[in-house]
Amino acid sequence: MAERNCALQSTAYRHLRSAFQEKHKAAAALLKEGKKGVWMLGDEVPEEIILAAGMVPVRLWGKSGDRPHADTYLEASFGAVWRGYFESLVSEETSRLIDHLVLSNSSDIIQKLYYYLLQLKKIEPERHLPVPTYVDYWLANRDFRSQERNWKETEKFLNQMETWANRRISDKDLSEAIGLCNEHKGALRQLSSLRYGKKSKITGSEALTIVGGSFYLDKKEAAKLIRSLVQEAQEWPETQAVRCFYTGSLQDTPEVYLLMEEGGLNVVSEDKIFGDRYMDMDTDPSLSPLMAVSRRYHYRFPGSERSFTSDRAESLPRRAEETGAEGIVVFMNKNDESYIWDLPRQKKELDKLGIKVLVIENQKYPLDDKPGLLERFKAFAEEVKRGRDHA
Amino acid sequence: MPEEKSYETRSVKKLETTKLVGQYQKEWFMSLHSRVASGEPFAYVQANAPMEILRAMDIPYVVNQWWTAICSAKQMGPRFYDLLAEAGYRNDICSYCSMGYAFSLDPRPEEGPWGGLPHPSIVIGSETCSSGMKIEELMCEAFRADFFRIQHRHQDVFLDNWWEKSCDQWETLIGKTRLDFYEMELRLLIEFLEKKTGRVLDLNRLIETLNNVNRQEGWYRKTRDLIAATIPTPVTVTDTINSVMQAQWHRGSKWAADMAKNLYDEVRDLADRGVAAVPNEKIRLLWIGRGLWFNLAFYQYFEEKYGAVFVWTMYLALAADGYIRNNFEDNPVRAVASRFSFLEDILHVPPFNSQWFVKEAKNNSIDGVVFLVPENCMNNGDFYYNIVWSLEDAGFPVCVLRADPADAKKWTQENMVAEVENLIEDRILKKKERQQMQGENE
Ligand code: SF4
Ligand code: SF4
Repeated sequence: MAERNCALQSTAYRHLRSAFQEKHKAAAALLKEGKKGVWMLGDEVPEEIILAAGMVPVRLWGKSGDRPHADTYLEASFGAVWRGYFESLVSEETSRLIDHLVLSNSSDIIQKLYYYLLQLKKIEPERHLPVPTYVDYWLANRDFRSQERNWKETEKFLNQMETWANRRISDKDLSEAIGLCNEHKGALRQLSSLRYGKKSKITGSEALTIVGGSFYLDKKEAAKLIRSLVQEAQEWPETQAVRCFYTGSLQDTPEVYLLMEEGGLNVVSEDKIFGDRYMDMDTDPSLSPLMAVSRRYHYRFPGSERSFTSDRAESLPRRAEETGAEGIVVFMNKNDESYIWDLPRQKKELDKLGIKVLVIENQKYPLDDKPGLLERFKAFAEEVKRGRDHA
Repeated sequence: MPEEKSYETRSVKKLETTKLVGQYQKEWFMSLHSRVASGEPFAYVQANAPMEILRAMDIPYVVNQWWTAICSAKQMGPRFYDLLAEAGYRNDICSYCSMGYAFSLDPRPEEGPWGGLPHPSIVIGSETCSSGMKIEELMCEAFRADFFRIQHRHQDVFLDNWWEKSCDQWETLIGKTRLDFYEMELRLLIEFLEKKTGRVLDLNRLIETLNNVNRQEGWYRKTRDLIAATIPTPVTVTDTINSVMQAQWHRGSKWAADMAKNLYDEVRDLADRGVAAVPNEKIRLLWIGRGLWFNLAFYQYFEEKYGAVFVWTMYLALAADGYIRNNFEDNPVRAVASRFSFLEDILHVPPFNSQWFVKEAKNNSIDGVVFLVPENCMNNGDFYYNIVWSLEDAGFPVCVLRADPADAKKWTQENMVAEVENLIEDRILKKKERQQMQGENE
């Protein structure tokens, strides 16, 4: 299935889509009037605090096309997604926009990129490279020591943002920023509710475009556009495709989702930042703002890179069931295959729920066998449908 | 059954210490079975684990990388990796870290090296990579052991020439935030171990253990310096690698310190008598990366044809520079934390790794560097560009081998030999010729 006309005819969708497709332009617009941008790499950068400091959080995007710097500087073990980010950071086109960068401990590879950047600045001082800072949350456990650590880490980050912004951040600033972010997430959750279950009205690729586009717009404006889109989408036809939950390598373009749609699969939810993991919980306004921020990043849906297999075997099948998924697609880029270690255990749980799993490994960037992938998606869709008929 | 190889995989062990250490190791593993059978606790840990604490509490432990090296040297890797595949995992990734888990799945563990490994009652996890932490958890469950997970915190102080500060100024080197953090982690670990085992960490024993570590590593330092200064070298890496590594796993014991002294005495004696490990030594090579345990003979492959000798691996040098901690009496736990937290960074974080390799290459009169980049590790990232750049910039030609350091099945001997031969012929020998011509013209 290509992009649907119903979506393309929506002004709100087109607006979000163009922000997503022309991130450069959208980011430049966000940073107009000399606003300071703080670029984020990793899922756990507390954007609320950046906003509260009067700066603009900008999600770093991976550069598509050739990645000559990544090929030169990075080991082969850095999967395609990481290579894209690194290329953005180092290539002239994007790097000149980036003065401040925050990386979060969402994957060990990001920590490596942090170290690499520091060193690259030293050995190639002529490059325009940002001064990075690092948010070192501990996500794998939720015990007291992790809570306390993350709370302190949030405070440290707040102090850092105060320095960058050269102003104090009051509780009121932070509460307002939290409110704004919650508004954005709330709107996205309304959107997500249209994806789930048998009457899914938004396709995975549309959702990815909308979520991704909203990252490059003013939050208030984004929330408004999403809400208006949600209204319109009530009238959009339901997709008939096989409903899937997506996990594996991050998709920051709709290419793979579109291919899945062509093969008769529709992603109704995912555990990824360009999707449901971004907005799965609010920052609790009833808590002290610092604590609320810290908890939001600590307590959200466990991402695979920073979770034990036991957590994932518990949370992922449940989430898949809640969203009405009939199948799980685990899609892994070459050298981004840690999901493998989750799988056998997850499968046991998924079998109990009658949810089937498609495992795709060793994917290259750019995709080197689209027809082959399409065939596998089609076959999986057929397999799930046959299961339906038996049920 | 061990795999048949078309190439020689055994190395020559000529040092008495290596034999002694090997013997002890075998006996130690045998005694481990009876200790565990009689109800003693037994811990399975990672290479960077704070072993001094376990040693001081007299809790026997085996290190994941140690066990991997043993299984790999006994050519048993393929058997274990197949068990992973049977359990629904892939058998071609994470070989270096998954041997312990693979072993835990073995229905006939007694067929493992030296009667196999008894099931541990405690697993201490400290892997930072996404796969590693999952493997630790899976293994722990398969062994039905109690799990203690040490959290990790990134390094945020980057001082030059770390080896000049690690012994005496470790507080400055690591930085207060990180040290506070790791000290707390270790205190939690101690509480956990005391509760689980009913044993108490005796402060005096801990101090004694740290003194033993300093003594042991001090001898390694002397040995490393001696090898660096002696041309032709009295020993090659194949002679020392096993003796150093095996004694390192028993770090903190009096026996290990004695073995380190033995090693030094032997090497000293060889050096004093002018014995050359490779009499026609012409080229000195440095090996970066994990040891090629299943094929230690590879290190000797180039000796006869080129007089090219591997004189350096990280094992002896890391022992020499990475472990000694002075001024620990006020707070021995903090001293252990300073070692535990920094050990991996030495090898994997720039500029600690690159500066150190360059220093060691200079001190050891190295002609060329062979750098093993593990192919099946998704978390491999030492900023290898920076390492190669730093070494080349300092005048040391580097060849990169992409291979799996634990799985013999995937090793392609001919390609690897060819890569190193290219380094020797195209770069080292040509450079030497140029230098010779320059010398003659002057
Ligand atoms: S889904 Fe239906 S309404 Fe929407 S574009 Fe396709 S055909 Fe038109
Ligand atoms: S990715 Fe590398 S470090 Fe991590 S478990 Fe696998 S082999 Fe070990």
